[in-house]
Amino acid sequence: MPNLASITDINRIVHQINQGNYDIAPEQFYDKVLLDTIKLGQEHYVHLANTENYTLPKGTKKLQKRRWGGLTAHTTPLKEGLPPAPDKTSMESITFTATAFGRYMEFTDRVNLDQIDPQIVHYTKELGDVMSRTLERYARETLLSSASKLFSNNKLSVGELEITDKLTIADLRFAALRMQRLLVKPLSSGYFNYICSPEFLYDFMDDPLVEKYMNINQTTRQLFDDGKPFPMFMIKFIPTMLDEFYTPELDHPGEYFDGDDFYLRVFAQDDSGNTYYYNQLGDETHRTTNNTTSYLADGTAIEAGEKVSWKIKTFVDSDEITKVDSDGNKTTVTLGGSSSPTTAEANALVWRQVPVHKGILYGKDALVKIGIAGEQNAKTIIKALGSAGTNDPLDQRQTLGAKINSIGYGILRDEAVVVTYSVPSQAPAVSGLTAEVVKMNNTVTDKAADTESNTLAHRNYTVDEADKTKGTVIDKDATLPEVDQV
Amino acid sequence: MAEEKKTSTKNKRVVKKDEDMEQNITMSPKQFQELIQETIKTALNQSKGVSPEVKAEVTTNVQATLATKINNRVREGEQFFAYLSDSKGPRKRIVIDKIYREYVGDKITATVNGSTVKVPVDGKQHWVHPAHYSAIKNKLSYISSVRDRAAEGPDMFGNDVGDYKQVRQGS
Repeated sequence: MPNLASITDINRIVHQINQGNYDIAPEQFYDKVLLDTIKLGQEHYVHLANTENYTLPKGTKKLQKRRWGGLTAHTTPLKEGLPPAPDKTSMESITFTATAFGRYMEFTDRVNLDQIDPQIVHYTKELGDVMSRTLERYARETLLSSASKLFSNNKLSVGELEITDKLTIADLRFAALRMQRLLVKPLSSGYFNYICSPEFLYDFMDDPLVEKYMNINQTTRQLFDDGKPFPMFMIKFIPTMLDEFYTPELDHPGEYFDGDDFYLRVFAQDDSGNTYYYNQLGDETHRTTNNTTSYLADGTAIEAGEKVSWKIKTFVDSDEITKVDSDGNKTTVTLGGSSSPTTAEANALVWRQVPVHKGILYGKDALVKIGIAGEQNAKTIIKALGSAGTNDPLDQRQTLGAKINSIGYGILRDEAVVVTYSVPSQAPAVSGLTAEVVKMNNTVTDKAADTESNTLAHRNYTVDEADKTKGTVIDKDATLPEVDQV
Repeated sequence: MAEEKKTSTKNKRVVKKDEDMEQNITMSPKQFQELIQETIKTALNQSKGVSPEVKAEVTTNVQATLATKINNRVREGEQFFAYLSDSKGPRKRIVIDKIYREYVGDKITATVNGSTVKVPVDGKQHWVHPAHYSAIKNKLSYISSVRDRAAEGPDMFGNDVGDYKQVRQGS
């Protein structure tokens, strides 16, 4: 190598980093632009599309709607000079209630100074969006509370549903026909709406009536292209994933209430995949609710008594399970002795809750929304540093929140809503996937609680202990060392 | 006079449209099958490019599928409806307190797989099939939760704006 000028006096980066330990070339670049939060898009917010809105005056929490009855025509002629018997009136009324919802988060002042990401901006937006999803969830719960139920394959409750119990277009057609007979009018679009899951639409393609439609019309419409369903028999299909599978920590698709107790329908498959086993877990020993505030994986706080957990049981001898073979033959197996499966084999199976999908078929006069005028929308409330006055004397705390002051939903006519229960063919394979994707990798909710002694190393007091002046204790009896006089 | 005639014609058209929308047909499963069969035959005959063999096969397969579905539904539904009409069939006792009248009216309607019952909300005991019992109790349970939610209104914490210690449980 030719001998060029010496590098001794040149400022070389390699010298600075390796020998000088200059921390001037960090390994990562912190891009301030955040990735999109993984969550459902607005196209899944479908439950509020056809609500009738009523406003309450300020100071009221309930709305009463009344319906006056009609009269029946008859052809009894009038007698001369004699009036007929006078008709009477009939009326019924129904009441709806409004309530308030809200969420908030609290941060210290260091969140603005000690880290890079705009957490406050992100969670301000997220709180607004979660209020929209709260209303969607409230509307869905209200629609699902309807006392009109349709179970696939003529089953009578969730406790009887099996993995092969798909809902068909013929079932929905029957439900729509009944609604017409009950004088439930279609929506302004001319259709009844059916809110369903993507798994139901997956089976839509294989439905006999859909196959017939495509054969006769020699078309697949857009089903083979973008998978969007087409209306059939006055029913319009509205897919959504904002259902019980999106929030498995709060909802249990296999859970049902038989009027007296809660049960969880569970199933297991043998190794061959041809035989299914079913069981109902009762709420006495397998269902618990949180007795203190607990946190979901995404940091959502759930008040005590609001989070339900189920524990899969350990089978013992004399427990009964239902066995369904590949031909659909059902037998009840009492575990123990020489039963097939044995108790140990039953416990070795992987038991999961049956993924029951709920659909909502509705027409006019279904869902009603009420609320005080001007108070039905979400409001963002930001309390900046120091806004708590003397409770925050050094401007160390800030909060951001969202609130809806007055909102309520109700069903105007129970006949206008039919809730369907089924287990689509692909539900066991895919229904639980969304929740895993939404869960973040890092969270503080499952870590030890934050305490006052928790500190960051770089915030430690930097003055050396030895350099601190501690002061001197004066002892009046101390003997001073002699000083030579000059 | 001509204008009046025009108006009455317009009204008649509107009435006809409402009648069309609300027209219902009631028929037995056999009549329904025959109607479907005729519909399919007519549609196939009018379809271009469909060979006679395909037409025959489609008609047979669809008819068989629909017949099977209808027969299955009727057979399995018969068991349920047999229970309903049998006074010794499965029943559960239900009492619905009058307090629910303001939310559901004088009677609560429950439908399961097409069978509808209306149970009076009068505080007296009535007997319903377990499936209807479950549907009604679910509805009442939801109404109760709505009432509980509304009862825990803003008055619960009083006027504690800014007083974080009092409003935050467990602090």
